[in-house]
Amino acid sequence: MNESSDHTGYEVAQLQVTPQLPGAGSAAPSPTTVSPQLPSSSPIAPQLPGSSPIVPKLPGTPSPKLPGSENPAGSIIKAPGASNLNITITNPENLPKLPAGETELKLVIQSEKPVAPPDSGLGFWEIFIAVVAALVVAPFVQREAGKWVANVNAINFVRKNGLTISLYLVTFSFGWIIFMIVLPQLYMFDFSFRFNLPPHEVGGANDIYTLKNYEYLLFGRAGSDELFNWLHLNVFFKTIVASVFVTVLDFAICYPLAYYMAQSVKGGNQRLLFLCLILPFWVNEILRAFAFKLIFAQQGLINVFLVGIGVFDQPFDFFKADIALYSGLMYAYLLLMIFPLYNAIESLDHNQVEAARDMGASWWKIHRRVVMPHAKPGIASGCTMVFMLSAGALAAPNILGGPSSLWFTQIIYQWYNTGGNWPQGSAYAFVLLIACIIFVRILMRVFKVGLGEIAQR
Amino acid sequence: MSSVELDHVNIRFGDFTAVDDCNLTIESGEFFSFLGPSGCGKTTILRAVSGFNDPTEGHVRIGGRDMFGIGPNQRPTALIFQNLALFPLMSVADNIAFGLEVRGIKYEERRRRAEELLNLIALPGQGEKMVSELSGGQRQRVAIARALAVEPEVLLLDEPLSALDLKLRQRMRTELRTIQQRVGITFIYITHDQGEALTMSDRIAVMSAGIVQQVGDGSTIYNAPATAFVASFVGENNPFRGRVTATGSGSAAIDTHFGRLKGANDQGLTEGDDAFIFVRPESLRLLRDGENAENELECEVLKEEFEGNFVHVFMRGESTDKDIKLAMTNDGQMPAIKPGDKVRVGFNADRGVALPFGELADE
Repeated sequence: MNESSDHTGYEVAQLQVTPQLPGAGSAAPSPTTVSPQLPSSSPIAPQLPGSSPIVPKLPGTPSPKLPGSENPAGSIIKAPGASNLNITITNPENLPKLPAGETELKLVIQSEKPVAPPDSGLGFWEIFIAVVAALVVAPFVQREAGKWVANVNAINFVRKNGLTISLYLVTFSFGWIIFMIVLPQLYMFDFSFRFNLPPHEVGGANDIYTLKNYEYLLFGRAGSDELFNWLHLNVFFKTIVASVFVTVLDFAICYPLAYYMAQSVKGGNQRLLFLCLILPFWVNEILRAFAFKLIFAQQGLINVFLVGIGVFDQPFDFFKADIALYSGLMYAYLLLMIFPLYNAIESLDHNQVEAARDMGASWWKIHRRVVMPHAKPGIASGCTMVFMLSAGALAAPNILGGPSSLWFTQIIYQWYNTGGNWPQGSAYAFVLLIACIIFVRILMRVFKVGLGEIAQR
Repeated sequence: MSSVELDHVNIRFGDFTAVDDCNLTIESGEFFSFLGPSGCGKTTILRAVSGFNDPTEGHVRIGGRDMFGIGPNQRPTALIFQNLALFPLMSVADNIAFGLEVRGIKYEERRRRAEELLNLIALPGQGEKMVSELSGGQRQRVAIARALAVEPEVLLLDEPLSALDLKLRQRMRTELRTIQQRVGITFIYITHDQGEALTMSDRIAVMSAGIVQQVGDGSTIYNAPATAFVASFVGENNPFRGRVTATGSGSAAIDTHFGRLKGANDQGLTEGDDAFIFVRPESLRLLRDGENAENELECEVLKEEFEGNFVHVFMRGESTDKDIKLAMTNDGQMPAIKPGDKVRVGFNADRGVALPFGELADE
């Protein structure tokens, strides 16, 4: 019936054929959909038993080939003894007229691209010629390679580190950047502009770019009553605001501690403090979150204590009030705040603090005018990390979040996981990422911190 | 302007005694120096006056008021740090006006004061520069201006010139002295450089191991040291150790390896005391043939060092292992000597100083 006329290879295959075939055999099978664009993946088709090949005779086409097992490009829709075969034609141009009353219909979907026959293995002469050619080419290759190595050696970087280490450094750093950072993100970025298609349609005619996923976050389902998708947008803004809140609180807790460790305490006590800070982080994040859940629970330590001393008549719901969640997030990223702060404050000459004090400055003024300006890159670095990670946290919101509160990452997770809609999830994730980056960059501009300064810490 | 009174001040850190019973009064408007080797406790005293640590025992009084428990930001003092501790992220004017800023003084007033002080330290119109754009000497002066901006009654200086090169240091000495005379407040200056202490100070306290060895003006410290430490620490000195064999009318005779040497006895040495007699290189002179002196020593010349205005001759007596140093003025009449020469050197009894035996400063 149809072979798409442009004959551009596998695109032809994107069709479903639904003719009514009178006088056919026994029980009706369910409508069959075939993706013949993957010829190698449909070897079952020709082997279906009791098949009556459907080969449409089309004007101007070469005489239809019978399904041959040695021709994987031609895939056949079979109706094994079927009384009806549903064929939907999605490429209706050049649709041939179905002859009425035809009892036999043959369908050949044929690729124009000739497919090489499967390799039958190399013969003696092939191998012989290859060996001779290799022997002839080898000296040239060797000489050129020598030149190339000499050129590479001339580069200062290589001269300094040696070829092996340079190769390692370059491969590793580029490999890291490209394979671990750039490619996955690009892949997800690309993903976020696509429809959520079933696997067999991926790469097909329907696989086109769209803004639908982003639209959905903003405006919700088409035809919904609300102008905007307030459900998700609210979660989004709440996540951002709550992350800021967590960051600010974390900073308020960590700054005095970092200052104390960097400027006041010395020697053994300092090491002890560091140990006390680091050791809890040997316990994994999930476990720590569950520990918080226990502590904040209705019958948990805190409630028992607070009810015991009479602050509350009945246990307070820390989860509903999001207190458990904020505490958990603050705790999770404590070190990421303390260490940049510590590093930054530690490099401050203590004489400057004393000088400011000697000039009559109060503690607040000393920190406001001397310590904080000096520690600004560290503050920016710590706050950025805590903010980004809080906004992107999943475990803590999952475990410690209240029944009614949702973190934006949880929506993303739902899209990916239960929703099975990766493009939608990618779009949401990208919106979160971009929003966080913009937010951080604006703050950096406001506080006059450069990106390079952050990297120093 | 206030006097600073250190009333039996003891400062201990655990078992370590940093300052041992320091008892002295610094007059109002005085330029007073604490001179001593590093680790002698002079900085600790300064920090006790500025309020960074309180004395373990005794009292610090400024203008008659006991300062115990009063923080550095509440005291009428200003401290200039050894490394100056200027704020690198602020402009020069902001640095100078910092003390006024934290006191809540308005911007225009602060600017006016900063400009005044910039004129005082001869850096007019440089307020907008950053500290890093200034030279070492200019930073020095900015640090002084910053300290003066809060109008302290006492200015404390912790070896502020030690980071400068020699020429600049000498110029800054003069400048500091000029500024002090112009503002008229009490300066307490900490240094291990005797040249700085001697040139600038009205009075000097020489310290060693937490103990104030002697307080006096420069010439007293130099010419009439009270202890062996002061004699050996301030300026060059040749010590000869021995036993007092005779005393009389302010002088003492001490038997040494070089025979009997006589010197001034201001510290009340009596016969039989273990003692030093000190004589400065410039008090020693080479004796020509036929020339005699009250004290004479036989030596062999080891080497000569030419220093421009002075020529130093290093000599050694028989059966001693300590060099004797002699300084001759390069006045064109120096006798020609060379290593290996046997020479006689001598000094007058009033140029020698007899002191009880005690610890010498490290050389």
